[in-house]
Amino acid sequence: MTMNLEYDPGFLDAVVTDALRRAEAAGDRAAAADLQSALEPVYRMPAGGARDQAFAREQLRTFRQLGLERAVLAGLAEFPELARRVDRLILCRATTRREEEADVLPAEKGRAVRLRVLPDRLTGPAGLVALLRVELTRILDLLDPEFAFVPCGRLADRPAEENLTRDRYRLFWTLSVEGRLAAAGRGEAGAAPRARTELDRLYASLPEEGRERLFLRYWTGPRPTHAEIRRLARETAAVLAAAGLPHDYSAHPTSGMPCPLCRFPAFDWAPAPASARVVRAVLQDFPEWTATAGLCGRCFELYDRS
Amino acid sequence: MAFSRRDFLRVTGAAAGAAGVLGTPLRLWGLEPVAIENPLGAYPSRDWEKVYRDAYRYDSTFNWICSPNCTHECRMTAFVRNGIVLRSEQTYDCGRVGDLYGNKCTPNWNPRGCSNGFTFQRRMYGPYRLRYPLMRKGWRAWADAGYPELTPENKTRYKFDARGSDEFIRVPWDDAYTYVAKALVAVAKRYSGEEGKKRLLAQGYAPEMLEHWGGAGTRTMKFRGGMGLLGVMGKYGMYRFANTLAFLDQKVRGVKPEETLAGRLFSNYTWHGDQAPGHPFVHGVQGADCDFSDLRFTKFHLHMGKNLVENKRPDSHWFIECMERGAKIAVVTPEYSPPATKADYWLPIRPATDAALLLGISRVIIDENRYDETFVKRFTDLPLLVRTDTLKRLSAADVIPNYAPKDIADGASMKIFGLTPEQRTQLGDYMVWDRKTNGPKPLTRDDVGEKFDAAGLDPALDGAFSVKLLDGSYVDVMPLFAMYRIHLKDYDLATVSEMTGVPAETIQRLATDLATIKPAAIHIGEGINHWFHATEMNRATYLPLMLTGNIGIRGGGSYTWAGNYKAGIFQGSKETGPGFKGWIAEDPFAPSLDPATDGKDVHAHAHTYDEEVAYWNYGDKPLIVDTPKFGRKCFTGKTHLPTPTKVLWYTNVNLINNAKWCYEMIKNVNPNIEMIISTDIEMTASCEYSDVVFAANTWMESKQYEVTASCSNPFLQIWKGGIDPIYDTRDDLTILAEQAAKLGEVLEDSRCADYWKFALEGKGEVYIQRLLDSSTTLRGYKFDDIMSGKYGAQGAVLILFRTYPRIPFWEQIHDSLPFFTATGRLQAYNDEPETIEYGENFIVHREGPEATPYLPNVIVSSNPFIRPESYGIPEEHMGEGERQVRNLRKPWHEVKLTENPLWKKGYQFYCMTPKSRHSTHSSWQVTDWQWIWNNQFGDPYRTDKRSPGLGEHTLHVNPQAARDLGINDGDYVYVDANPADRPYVGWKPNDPFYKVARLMLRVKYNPSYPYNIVMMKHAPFIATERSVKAHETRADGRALSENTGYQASFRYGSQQSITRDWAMPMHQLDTLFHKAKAKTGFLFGFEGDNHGINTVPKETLVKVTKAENGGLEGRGVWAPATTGYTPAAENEFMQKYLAGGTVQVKKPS
Repeated sequence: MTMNLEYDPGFLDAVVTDALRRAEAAGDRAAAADLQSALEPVYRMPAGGARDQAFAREQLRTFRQLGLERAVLAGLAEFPELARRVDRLILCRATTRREEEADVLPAEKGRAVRLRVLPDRLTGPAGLVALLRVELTRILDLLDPEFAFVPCGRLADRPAEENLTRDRYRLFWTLSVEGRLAAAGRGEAGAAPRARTELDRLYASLPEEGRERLFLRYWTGPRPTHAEIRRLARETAAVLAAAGLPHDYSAHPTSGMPCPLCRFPAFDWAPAPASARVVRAVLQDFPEWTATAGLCGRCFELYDRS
Repeated sequence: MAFSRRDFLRVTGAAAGAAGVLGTPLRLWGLEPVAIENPLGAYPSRDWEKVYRDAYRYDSTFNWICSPNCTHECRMTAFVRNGIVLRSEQTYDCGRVGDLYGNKCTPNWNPRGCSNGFTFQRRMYGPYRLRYPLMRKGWRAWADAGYPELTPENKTRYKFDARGSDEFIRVPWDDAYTYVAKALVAVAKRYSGEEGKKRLLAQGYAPEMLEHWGGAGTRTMKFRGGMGLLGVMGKYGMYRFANTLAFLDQKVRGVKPEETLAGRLFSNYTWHGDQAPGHPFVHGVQGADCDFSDLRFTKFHLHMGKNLVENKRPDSHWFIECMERGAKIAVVTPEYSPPATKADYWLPIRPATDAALLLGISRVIIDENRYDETFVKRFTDLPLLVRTDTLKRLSAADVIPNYAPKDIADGASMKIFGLTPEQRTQLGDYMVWDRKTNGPKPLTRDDVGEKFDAAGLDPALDGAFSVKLLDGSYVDVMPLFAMYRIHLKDYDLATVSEMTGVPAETIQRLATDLATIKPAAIHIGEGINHWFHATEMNRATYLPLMLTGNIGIRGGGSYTWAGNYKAGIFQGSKETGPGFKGWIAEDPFAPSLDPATDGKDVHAHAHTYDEEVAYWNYGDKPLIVDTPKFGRKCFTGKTHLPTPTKVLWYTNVNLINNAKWCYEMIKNVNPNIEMIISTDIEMTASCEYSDVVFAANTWMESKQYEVTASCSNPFLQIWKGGIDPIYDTRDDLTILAEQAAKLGEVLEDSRCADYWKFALEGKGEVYIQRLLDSSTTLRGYKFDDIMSGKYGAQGAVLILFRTYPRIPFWEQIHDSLPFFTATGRLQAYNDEPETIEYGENFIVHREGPEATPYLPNVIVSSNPFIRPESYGIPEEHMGEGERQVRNLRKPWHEVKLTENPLWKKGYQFYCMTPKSRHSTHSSWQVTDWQWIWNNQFGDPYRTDKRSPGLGEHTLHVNPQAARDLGINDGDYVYVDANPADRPYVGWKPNDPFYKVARLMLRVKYNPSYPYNIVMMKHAPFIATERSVKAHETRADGRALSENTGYQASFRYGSQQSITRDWAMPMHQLDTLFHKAKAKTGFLFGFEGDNHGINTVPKETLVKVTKAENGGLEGRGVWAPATTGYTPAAENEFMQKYLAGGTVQVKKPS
């Protein structure tokens, strides 16, 4: 079974243009002149599919001529099993670092994977290999029946919580992927401290030892299933368990986390500890609430009045 | 995730080999030059131009009026192709419009129109149009169950307490009318008579609310023809419908026709907070406004809290022309506003301290003897004597034994202006201290101008005198002018500068300009009128103009143009007939059924009674406070008292959306209302929270004639639509008439249909002709002549004003006629008992009851002639009612040491809520292009899926203030107000409705706003239960309601999350004497849109806290704020550019 490698014309255009600009800046105009000359007749063609194809062909030719495809092929060579599981790999253009990721696409026949990449991964110092390793490992997870991936649109119940939940979802999967790559000697330098920093940001409310246990659990431990990752992203109890903390551990609230009372994300938390009067007032409406869970400034004001 | 193969082009190695067919290249280099003398004549083919011509080709045109509540009423021409309106443009015909006497309008009123009118067809054909009548499912079930009483169980069973989550179903028009008619009958029966009284009291309504109920259930029915002047037939016609209910009352109670009571008429102008509520106090008129073209005559233009650059689009050029004609311009606004950028100088003012500023200026004018003594004596109340004991004006009857008021039966007051003998007796005569005779002399209200001169008096302006009263005792009296010298001691330059934040030298400069440049005009707007103490600020604008004689002359005066309110254009009189009242209140028991009847002969009888919407908005109750000193006290004057609200029908207004504190209405008030009907052209939040929705034709589709006029231009305009209705919609006039006819069917009373005879026959122009016949300003015009273009332009004439441009009080000054106040003079003093009790007998500065860093509602004065009643309410009591009614007087040096507890808790932002440039209140708020233009976050692609639609509502914040709060440019924030009652009383974090009601929106850094001031444009489409659910569940995240198609401007909450209704005591007097709004006559106390509660949305303090990051999908900083080209984040180049350093001009060597 072979896998087709395909390029989105927009991606090709962006990569080739960037590469030619860099070459020109270094004093080499030969490739640019060659492409310009090749495109001259294409510009005269009537608008339509044939013209677009002709543009794409010339850009692909230049893409290869400049040796840009070599990095792609080298990265893919590390994942021979991918070709057995995927029919098409489509490289598309990402516009931000956050957009750089791989997805499995619903396809009419065969299985297609789309990988969004910033053009400078091929032309600049950022490099493509590290990205391919992470994203293609993620794709292999996703295609592995044991991982039990279930497509999900939104992760959180409310849009207001979506970003935080999605960040956490990404964190746990990345920990596992990069941890496995590191163990195999293919990890990117600096990946571990970067992942740890992200974990610290997203779980600043947990004690240091808890965060360390979490990190080790997913960096070095067995791969979690997709369901486990989703649960960790959504449920504090699952995180506490994984971090080896008691289930009633109350974290100091983190900026951007939903207030446990009104569920609006809050950056403005009431000063802790709340007075006994406020605690009594809150408990009347929220018997399950514990003072250490905190409350946002607005909710505090309401119960401070009562 | 959807992914189309068409988005990709296979360019694999294999595919790359398949070459497409290439076209033949053009051999351009082979062409030889051709000599052509006339390229246009010889060009081989110009067929291509047809493409462009076709884009503008049309089959027909028609004229229509763009008539939202913007005060402009622009004549537009629509261009139609294949029955579809393609575009609209202005008619350019203002210069042809004339009047009965051959006067022609200046062509400088051209061009008319703005982007709203130009894009109206996008609303008409747009996705939010109402297409047919709708009925709430739960409400219909309630109706089918026999309209049972709304017990708590029934409220829940039929979702009266959850209208926002119910479902709407389409109903045929006849079904809708039948259900509504039967509901009217059911409600009228339920709340009539003794049983009705028991029910209402048992439901918790205050006994005072039965004052105007009179035993009639029809009086629990409220009707609002939204800004009726925008369409006198279809909108003001709502009040005629209310009068129709006299038949219903007669049927239910069996009373005689003259005893019947019909519905209550909800106000418009005051409800919008548009009125300058101080106007009736100063000159006795509802509102005084010149035509915009009068700006050409102004030499000094003072712009206060108004924005004639960003708003008033078709007419803002008149302001610009002030500059072109050499007028000096000063602007008073808290922020460095668009007009401030055009001004000679700008006075940055602390919000709501305008009265203090104007008092300071007045003091300078008096201290420097720059006042016009002759004008002051001839036309103002400043020479009148005031008793220092009672603080009442000295009446001639106080001191002259057996004083018989002078006979003024042939004077202007009684002969022209309709003062009745009873009113004349009640008012009495006034006294001045005559320096010639060194004694008090009486004056009548007719003794102004030349008539005052003829009296031969030389009134003292200064001094204190002792007069002997009839009982032999003596009392000190003073001319008001002398008392003002004492009063203004509190308003020296240094103190006013501290109070207002305006530098003392700038105040001095303004005072000098006002005193030395004539004519001078002050233009105010919502910026001032939307504060609790707008009354004082309005009165204060007149004080320097009274002192300098800048009233009643071209280019002078104080004006607002906020809201198109002038029903008085259709003024009735004994000479012409009932005018406006002949249409809205023709006697239902004696209607004129002859189409040829002269409007003068129409018999008017209003069975209705006005009501301020503000009481519904205040929790459906009057202002009643438990006071330590007097116990339970009702501060709402008897003439103002509301009745319980059981039926609510409004047309052409987004009543619930635009209600201050709207979530309180939805949550706590409206569940008690048994039928809410909304007539509109689009799905609004007001429709979503209704029981029945009537789908109306637009201005372009109307089948019957409509008529409109304006408070800011001289045009009367009549039009009807030029295309057939697109959907199953009807004219609003037709809806009213057909509903009335259906009520008649249910009542088996054909008089209901008779009352609407000509509207039902499609001949509404009969009523228009009667309106013309019976109005002082229009008598002589014939409908047919107007429509045939006899006066220069089809459908338009000039209203017969005394002057063009219209100059308020021209007659008073030039013909020596009395003003419309009790004294017949411009009043700087009010001695109504309530006014004295509230400490506002003098024009004075008060801090607001909420929007202040200082003691709420304190009167800033040490004047011994201000003796307010505190009702024993301690200073530290901060209940909303207590804050509103407590009257404490303190000098500034004490006030500045006090603190508002709310401010102390971090609510330290005043929130300005001005008009938007790209909408007219809530109209056009979600029209695609307008929404994109309306804010910095407009994005037709909705790249950030958090956006509720094509744009985001925006809070403008001072960058440093935002940074201090950890808020980046473009972040989402919460804006919260006093947690005691906002967003609604009884909110709890676990109430799902709280999520709907809490305001979240985007922040934009704006350095033109001072640190403690934020700004949010008003009247966007609120978040509703359905829109929030949609935003949270739709894949695309749009706040687009399921079932109704309503599109919200917000993710959560709205502008109204932070506002509340206030019930200003000064707006609720029973004793204020003033002119009736639409007839030659006077009244004491309440009249809708004239003297009543004027709502004040700016009276709030807010707290701003971060909610989400502004970057795409909530990550990082909003991208444009990182470019280096946005305010407060300028990069090196931008800083250089702003400093003018990017272009350097070398001097020629």
